[in-house]
Amino acid sequence: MDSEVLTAAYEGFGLVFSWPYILYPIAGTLLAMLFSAAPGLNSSSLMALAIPLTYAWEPLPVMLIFGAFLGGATFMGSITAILFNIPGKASNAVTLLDGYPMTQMGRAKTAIGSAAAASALGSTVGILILIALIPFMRVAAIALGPAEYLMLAIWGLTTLAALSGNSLVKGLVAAGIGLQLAFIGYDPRTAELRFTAGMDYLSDGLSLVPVLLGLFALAEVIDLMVSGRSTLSGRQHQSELSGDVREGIGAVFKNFFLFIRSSAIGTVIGAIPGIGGSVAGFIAYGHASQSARDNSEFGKGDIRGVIAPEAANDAKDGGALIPTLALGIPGGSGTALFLGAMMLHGLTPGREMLTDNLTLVFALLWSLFLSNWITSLLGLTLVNPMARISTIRTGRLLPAILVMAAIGAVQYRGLISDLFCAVVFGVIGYLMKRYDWPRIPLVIAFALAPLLEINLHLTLRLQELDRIDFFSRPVVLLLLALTIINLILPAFLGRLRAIRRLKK
Amino acid sequence: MKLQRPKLRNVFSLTLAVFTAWMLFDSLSLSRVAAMLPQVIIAATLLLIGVQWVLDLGKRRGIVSGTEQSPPDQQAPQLRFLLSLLWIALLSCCTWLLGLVFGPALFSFVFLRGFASESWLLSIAYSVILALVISFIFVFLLNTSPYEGVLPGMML
Repeated sequence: MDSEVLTAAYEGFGLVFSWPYILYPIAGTLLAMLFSAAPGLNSSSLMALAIPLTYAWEPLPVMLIFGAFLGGATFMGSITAILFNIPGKASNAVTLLDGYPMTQMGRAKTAIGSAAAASALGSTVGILILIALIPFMRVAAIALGPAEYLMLAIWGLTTLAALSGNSLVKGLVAAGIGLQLAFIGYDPRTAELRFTAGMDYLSDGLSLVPVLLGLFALAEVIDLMVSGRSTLSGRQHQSELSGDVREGIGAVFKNFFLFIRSSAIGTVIGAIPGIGGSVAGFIAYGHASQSARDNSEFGKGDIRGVIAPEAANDAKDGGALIPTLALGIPGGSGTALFLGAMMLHGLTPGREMLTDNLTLVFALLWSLFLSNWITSLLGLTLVNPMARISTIRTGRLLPAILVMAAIGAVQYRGLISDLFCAVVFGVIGYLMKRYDWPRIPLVIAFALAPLLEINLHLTLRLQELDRIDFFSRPVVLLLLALTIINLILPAFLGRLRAIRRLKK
Repeated sequence: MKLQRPKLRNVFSLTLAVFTAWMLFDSLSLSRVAAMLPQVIIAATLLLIGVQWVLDLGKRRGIVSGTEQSPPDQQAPQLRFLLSLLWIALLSCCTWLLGLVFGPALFSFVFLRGFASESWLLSIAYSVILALVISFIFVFLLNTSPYEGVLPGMML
């Protein structure tokens, strides 16, 4: 790493931790936490509000406060996902898969402890990787084309085999349904309307937020009402809630290599523009499940199912800044708004940003780092009051959860139809749960489908025009190898387990 | 009653099959480019649904050797399921008609009194606080108007 980068990193660190600039990341983090904990709100709405308010500010405070907005929102969404099965953001959706079952098992504190540790450490890994990659950022981002994106989507889909629970066929059907649901709306190449049944609402396709709210939050509400449990955790008193924050933190270190791999996955996925944070968590979850010797507890309260997505979700924030700063291509809605704020202050992404304004870039990164740690530490102190909520009587909690879900669905795009859509998916989600159809493959396939379809068309077209040779691209070959490993590994591990059983 | 449960399970599988078949039928009217990937996925899904159907049949009849019998389904609390749907439908209707401030507040009040059998005082206080919190967040904090519902517009 050249000395210019190290000097800028040192100067940026000094700026963030100097008075009065330290106040900006702290205030930004607290605001982001508040917004991400409130129903229907997220850091993107906060950033949209902050852009006009910070118009007259100097570039440095803007970078500091936006860095905090980017990093401060993720973990609070994980707390609501773990305790109430309601993800704060789409990227927190995967945390609920094992986090919520842990709450039901009375291990809410353990889940939150491991989420906090994985989150803070994951962001640190992400930022360290980003710093190390800064000299190579421009070259690496340009190297990715449709063929690589296509292979990335296929690689993500192959992780579904490990997430299918007891029945691979059911998992594949659920994935097929997820892909089909994603095909609804305009075809990306010909702009033909597909599968809308004449409904205007479906022209733009189904939105991920109401689908997720329905499949997980509303489905669980229905399940809770049908089960007749008196409290969310089934326990009456807070003292009965077992689980230990320290055990949760310790679990991250016990699964340190999984944590590192998940953080690396998060950073890489975050660095790819347009994929979005939710994919990072899902792919890390799939990897955790697939690489585990015994993955039978995934989806039922396995702590590794919390660590992997949390590490990836927070590491991806660092990764998402790579294309934003290097190419001006935002990785998601948050970075898109951040890009808008940068432009308003005359900061142009690209080579100029990475040479003339490198100190500002590092100030942003340290602010992101600080906000992730503040969020995790503050979040941990809020575990007890928040965990107590799981012992409140179901009858009192259900209206709040239902209303949060309704507000989240309606306010996301301002469409009441999204609420009706969430209700439909709530019923589907409940029936899937009741009849042992896995919901995770459906959601992953739904999230990956646009990436798959758009890049399939682009790759085929480029191949027809002889503009690319699919099998001569190194990243494609690497992803192809990973895909083959994904397909072979479950069978190999299954056979290995069978042999071990026979030997015993 | 024991015979009725697998039928419900089959109804769900059948619904998935019908949805997938409809998608396949609908895709026939599309151009080759637009239908290419959907048709491949849909056909594969339909095939897999068929495989699952056969597997389910085999399990029930004990034909498939070496596979465990699926555990007997728990008794379906059908009434509670229907009731939960009614409550969610009520929330949707209240929100649709009265908007995001008053709809959820009214729903909470009815739910707390009707489902949770809470006291009048708690139900009213809960609903009022909920409406105030939502108003505070959207009107004062965000300076945006939340969804207002169709009823106020009709009355004006």
